[in-house]
Amino acid sequence: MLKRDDWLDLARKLDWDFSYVEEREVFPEEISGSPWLTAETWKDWDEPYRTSYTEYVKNQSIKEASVHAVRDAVGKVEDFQKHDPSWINGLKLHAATLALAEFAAVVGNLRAARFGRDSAWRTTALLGALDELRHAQIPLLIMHELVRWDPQFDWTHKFFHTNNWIAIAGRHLVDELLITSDPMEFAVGTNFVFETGFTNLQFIGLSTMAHAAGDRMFEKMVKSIQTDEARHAQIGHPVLQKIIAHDPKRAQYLVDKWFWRNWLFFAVITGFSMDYLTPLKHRTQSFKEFMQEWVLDQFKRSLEEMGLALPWYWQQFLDAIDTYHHMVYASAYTYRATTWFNFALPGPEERTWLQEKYAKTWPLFDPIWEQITNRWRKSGPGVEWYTHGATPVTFCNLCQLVLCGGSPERNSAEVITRGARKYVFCSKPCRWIFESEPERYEHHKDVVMRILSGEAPGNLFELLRYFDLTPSIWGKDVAGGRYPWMQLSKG
Amino acid sequence: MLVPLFGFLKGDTIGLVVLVHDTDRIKDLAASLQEAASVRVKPKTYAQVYRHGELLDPELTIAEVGLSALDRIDVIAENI
Amino acid sequence: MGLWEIMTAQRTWWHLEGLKKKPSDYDISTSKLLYYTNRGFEVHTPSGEWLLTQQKNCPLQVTDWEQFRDPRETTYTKYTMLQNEKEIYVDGLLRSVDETGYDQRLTPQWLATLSGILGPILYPTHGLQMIAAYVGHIAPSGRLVVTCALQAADEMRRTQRFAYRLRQIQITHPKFAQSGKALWQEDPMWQPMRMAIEKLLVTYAWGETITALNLVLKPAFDALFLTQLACLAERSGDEILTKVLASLEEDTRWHREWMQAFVTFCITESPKNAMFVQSWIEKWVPICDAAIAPFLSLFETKGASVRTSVRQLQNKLWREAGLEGISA
Repeated sequence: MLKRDDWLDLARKLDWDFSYVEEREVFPEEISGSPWLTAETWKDWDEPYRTSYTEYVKNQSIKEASVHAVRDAVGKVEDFQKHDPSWINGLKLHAATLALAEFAAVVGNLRAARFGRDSAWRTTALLGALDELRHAQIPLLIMHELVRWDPQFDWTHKFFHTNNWIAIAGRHLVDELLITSDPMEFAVGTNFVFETGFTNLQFIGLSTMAHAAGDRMFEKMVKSIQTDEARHAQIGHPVLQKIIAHDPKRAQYLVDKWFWRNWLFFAVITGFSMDYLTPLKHRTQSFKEFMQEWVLDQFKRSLEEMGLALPWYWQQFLDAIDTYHHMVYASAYTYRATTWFNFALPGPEERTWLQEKYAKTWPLFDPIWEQITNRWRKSGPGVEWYTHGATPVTFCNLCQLVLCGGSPERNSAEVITRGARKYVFCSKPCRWIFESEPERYEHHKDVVMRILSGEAPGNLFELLRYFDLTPSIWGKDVAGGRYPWMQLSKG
Repeated sequence: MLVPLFGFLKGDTIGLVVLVHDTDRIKDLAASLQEAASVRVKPKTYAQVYRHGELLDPELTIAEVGLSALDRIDVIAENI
Repeated sequence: MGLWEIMTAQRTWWHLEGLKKKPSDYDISTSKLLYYTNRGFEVHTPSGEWLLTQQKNCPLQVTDWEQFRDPRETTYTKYTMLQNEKEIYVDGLLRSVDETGYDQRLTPQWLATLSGILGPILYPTHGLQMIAAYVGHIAPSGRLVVTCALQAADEMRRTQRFAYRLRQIQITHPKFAQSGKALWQEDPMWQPMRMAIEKLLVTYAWGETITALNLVLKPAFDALFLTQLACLAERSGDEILTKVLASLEEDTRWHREWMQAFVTFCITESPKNAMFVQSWIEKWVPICDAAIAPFLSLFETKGASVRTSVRQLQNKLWREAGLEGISA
């Protein structure tokens, strides 16, 4: 057989000069991306993986067989029932934000498979679309088994179809990043920042923890998905290089914007799992340590190599690694009924661990958990509402997540007035992103706006229904407040 | 008239929507926010309310200090 | 026990609860995958506006796009397993070429003919890949996104198999098919086809795009460059190519099957849809006929009109989908 490199370029470099239509008609700027560059500029585009179709279906069918074998062996309800309840709830959070977001990425990749400016790019993007279809279908097939055991797993599919506040935030991100971004922005936001910048957190971090927790199914799923990401993520680098060469300001903007938006997403999804929902005995590193080891250094290095500066908010970002996910978790714990998964209450041992890992900032959070614990003690187990907030919370007009920026000492929220409307942001970077492209964001109605305009109910119980939650679904404390240590330390 | 404000209590992890009447006093606003955040932050006996770093007179009303819908206020509470 | 305790009688996803049978893997993993179709997007971007506008302006409308099903019920797993089998088979064929000195036995006359096809054809097949990807990204049902994405992948398979075979022949015959791009861009024979592909690339109203692609152009293109070419290869003593083309033709058979199911679904949902599809067919048939015309004589044999057989195939597809045929 011929070696791949002997023939593949014949099938990868297939752009031609149009005669019957204009190039700008075939690749309109609004859907191909900016800056609009001529075909000539793109013709040396390349990526290193250069996978052929034959190799693709061969490797992927093997990977599929292997995931299905693990599913047959350890993917039954009984297998999941063995796991620690907090771990299971981390799984629910991940599953819900994964499946339909991956399918959204099928759409984004298909757009690139049509409007990417070089045929090799389009071909890799098409394989990317197939990969993302895989990543949508695997969790749907695995988690479907679990619905009859625990209906919260239904949100693996349902989540993005709901009015839940996390779903609104999720869609706000996924819509812009995956479904409605042009191929150039997609290449920077998804391929470069998300897939090469952040997914190591999932691959190395979460799969290590899944391994430690004995969850072979999740470990297998994450690892298998990552091997696909590693391939199609290669699109990011060469596209970004072209943008840098022709419009360095835009390149820097796209990187800065997407690093921040992706950071907030991972802080919630992965931060919750690593520092709160993974049982203490299975934790290998803190979220912060994983960020430092697997995200920061690599990201800084690749920016440097490309001649880009660190995002202007870098110091704020470094500070946020110590605080943001703790802010959101404590807040969400006390609004857990507004979610579809259950929350673990950090006990004395967990708090000692968090104190060690976050020596500088944990003293600001510890009193909060002390207060929540005291209220559990007062109410006794099973009385969820006594450790639950009732006042509406606030949402950032960019990321749509709760206003948990800064620290308990000083929340970093900012209010601005534009025309007749006030907007609030959780942080300076969110405000900056909004003000850089207001036409994208200013029409959006956050949950508070919906409540004030009567579109959503203000009463918490009714609001839960608006969030598509019912008593059997909404989030609770994983132990219903029945923690052995709570009794012990009381005496 | 009801006035929704973005309230931030020092020591807390999240901003809350505090709904007050424009005839309510600033000290009532502080009490409302402390109460709303009490699941996480134990209410304290003395509280001051700030708008952009400016300390607001606890005896004045919302209307008198000119707070309007969706303004940010910060509450710093302590036991004395 | 009480409100907070978890109890469930639920057995499947929220939207499949009414299903009368146990949901299949296809049901579980391909239903309601697009969440935005009824609610729109949370942000306004140019590409997003484009997508929503094309969806809204498409004359094809049904009450629920979710009801469309791929008759093969293709999931990712099924697809990769199926295609891997086919690729193993084709690899075997191509390996036998290396092992048997096969290419030395190809006649100069056949090589000259094949040279004028294998070089340029990579460009239109890549175009067909792009067009399928376009419809896939705009499709209002997740299942349609999936069928289009996999069809686009099949086009990639075809392009790469042609490219491989081309290079393989060049080892024995270095001058073989050296000017594919030039032929594609300049050879009068290919120009009507190039015009059709370029025009279809900028046909952005997706109902028309998918009709012109899967009901008009592709059935004709596939009939010529897979079925007819396979016959010609066989007559020319190139049985390996005949077999490779037969394997590629299997892919296109599925393209016609799911397209037929799609059109039948649209027409069943609303008879008005038939009118639109019919009008697009009428618009694209002359363009398609012109595109294939220069190639007909290449494939003709005594007593058999290629034009007639292509039209027969198209007519069969249209009639089985519930549309009207067109006379040859």
